[in-house]
Amino acid sequence: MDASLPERTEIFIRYIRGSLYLSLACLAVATAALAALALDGDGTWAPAVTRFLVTPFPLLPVLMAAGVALNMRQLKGQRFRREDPALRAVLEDEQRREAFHRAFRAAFVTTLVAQFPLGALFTWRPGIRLAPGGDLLLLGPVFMGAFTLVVGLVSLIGFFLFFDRD
Amino acid sequence: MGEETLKTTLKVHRARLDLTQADLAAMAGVTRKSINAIETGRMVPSVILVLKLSKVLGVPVEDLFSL
Repeated sequence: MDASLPERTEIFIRYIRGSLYLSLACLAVATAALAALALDGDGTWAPAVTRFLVTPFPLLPVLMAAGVALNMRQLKGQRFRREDPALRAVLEDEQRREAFHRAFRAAFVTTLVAQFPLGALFTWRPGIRLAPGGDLLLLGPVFMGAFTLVVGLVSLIGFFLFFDRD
Repeated sequence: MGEETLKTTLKVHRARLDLTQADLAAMAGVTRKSINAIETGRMVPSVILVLKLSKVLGVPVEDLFSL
C-alpha cells in the first residue's frame, strides 16, 4: 500500500533519527574500547576493562546488524529516491537545518572545552617506539586527537537529536 | 530595545482550510516539525517558506505574519 506524502515524510524522519541513535550506540562502544586502550597505563586495572569489552565482542556485529535491521523496518518498504518529495522535504527542511546549525555550534564549543580535560588526562602518557631505534610516537597527542574526534561526533549527533526533537 | 517576535496567524488559516500540520507541511515541501515550530513561535521561517505558505493558503503574507 502506498503511503501518503505526510506519512512518508514521517517515516523518513523516524528512520533518520533511528539511524542517528544507532550511530550513537556504535560510537559509545568505540569510545569504551578507546578509553580502555588509552587508560591502560601500567596495566593494573586495564585488563579487567578490556576483558569486559572483549568478552561480548563476537556478539557486537550481530547486535549491530540486528539494530540496523530493526531500524530498516521503520522504512516500511519505502525507498530512498532523490526525486521523492517526502525525502526532499526532510532533507531541505528549515527546522532541521536550523537544528543542525545549532548542534554544530554547540558541538564546536563542547569540543573546544573538552580539550582541557583531555589534555590533562593524556599528557602523562609515555611515548612508544614502534620499531627498535625508530621514531618516538607520543601517545598523548594521538589519544587526544582520537578523543577529540569522538567527542565532536557524539556531541554533534547528540545535540542534533536534542534540537530536532518534537 | 526588546527582542522583536514574529506573530503569526498560520494556525488560524490552516484550521480554516481544515488542514493538519502534516498536510500543510506536505503542500509547502517541509516537515510537520517546521510548521509546528513556526506556529509556536520557535522558528522564524525564511522568505521563501513564507511565500510558499502564503501561496498554499491563499492568504497575503502580511495577513499571515506580523511584528
